[in-house]
Amino acid sequence: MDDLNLISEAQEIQLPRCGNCNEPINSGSRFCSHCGCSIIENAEGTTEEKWNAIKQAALFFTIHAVACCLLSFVDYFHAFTWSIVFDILLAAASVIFFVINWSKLKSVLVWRNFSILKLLGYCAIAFGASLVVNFIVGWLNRSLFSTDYSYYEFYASHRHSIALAIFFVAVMPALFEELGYRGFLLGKLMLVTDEKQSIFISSFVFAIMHRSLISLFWLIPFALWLGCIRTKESTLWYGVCIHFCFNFTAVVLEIIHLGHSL
Amino acid sequence: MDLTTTTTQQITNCASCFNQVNDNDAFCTSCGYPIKGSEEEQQKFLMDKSYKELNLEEAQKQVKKASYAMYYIAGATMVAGLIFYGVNKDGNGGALFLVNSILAVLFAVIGFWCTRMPLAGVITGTSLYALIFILNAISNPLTILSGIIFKIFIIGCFIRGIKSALEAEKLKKDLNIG
Repeated sequence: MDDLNLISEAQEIQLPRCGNCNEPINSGSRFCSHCGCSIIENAEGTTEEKWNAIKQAALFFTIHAVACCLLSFVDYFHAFTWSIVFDILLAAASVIFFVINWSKLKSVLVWRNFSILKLLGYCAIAFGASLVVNFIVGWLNRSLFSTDYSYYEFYASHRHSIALAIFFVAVMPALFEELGYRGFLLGKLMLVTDEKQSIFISSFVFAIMHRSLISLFWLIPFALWLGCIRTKESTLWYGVCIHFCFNFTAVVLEIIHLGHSL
Repeated sequence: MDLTTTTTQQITNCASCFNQVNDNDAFCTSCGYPIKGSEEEQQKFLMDKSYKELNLEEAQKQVKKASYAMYYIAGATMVAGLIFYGVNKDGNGGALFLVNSILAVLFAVIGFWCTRMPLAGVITGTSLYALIFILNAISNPLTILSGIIFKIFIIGCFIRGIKSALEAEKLKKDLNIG
């Protein structure tokens, strides 16, 4: 009899406990059998807290939207130095929002279960996807608008143009867009709703922020992929590397293309 | 703990949600109904439950209104695109028509998505609308005031939609639906 007592006590200790009355609760229960309190609400937070989280996410969105639109649609800002300024401001904004939520978000900065094979695999896919997208978008631009948008040309007139282009098109977005969207935005939304909806929302917002309707066809899947990886691997770093590979490939393709046409 | 109690537990059904409950539970683990509570407590719970169901219906109505607003925006955008094309066939008209068509399709899809994933749908629809608003405001500040009453109405509708979608998710969990 004593052995059975010990076993059942040990089992009771391992069970999670109700946040209200501290009695053990069985898995699969939505309400505590002793006090009737909702287990999910205790774990998730009130509607008020969720609305505040949405407001914070909305502020992040507004800052990015205003900055990106100013950069794109106001002639005064169509200069090299201004684009650097805005890049830095937006990067700082991402960092600030991430740091404000440090305690809840810091865990994604750890690179859990690092696997060189996974990393190389993901990067290979990113490289391949970038080639395909570059080809399709170039074709679309030429056939629909008879222009060919280039990231590199923006930096081409400066010294160290290649390094600058690589830094501002590949390195900075990889780091700070991941920090801001997959780090802050996706993380914050997961406090509001379930994983699936959070990934959808953050991916769509990331995609439309690039202000290119044509590119939505690849931006949305790309963002969904990055969001899934961030939640599956519980780290930002695979996404950072993927994003870097993708953008880096795009820049290099352009430099080669320009080199050919000169 | 007495081994005999675990083997003679009776399984009955909760009077409120009809899920299985153990006899020695004070509250139903599926919906929180006070199985061992007084008549008063049980009546109160059932009244609260009806109240929540009404609130859920109301919240879902607000989400539906937001999705109708999106369908309306989709239609208006499409019409504007057709007008641009009609007015300016050779110049900008083609590009504007394409842009407006894609936007119209996006809003329509998001409006439909509100029926499947209410919160995600309303938030993405609101963010798309907000982005377009900011874009227009920055590239042509004079247009901010045009149709301002309509814009305020739409934004109010969307914000109420987001709050209602949040409320609906919570109520669904409370009532153990979906």
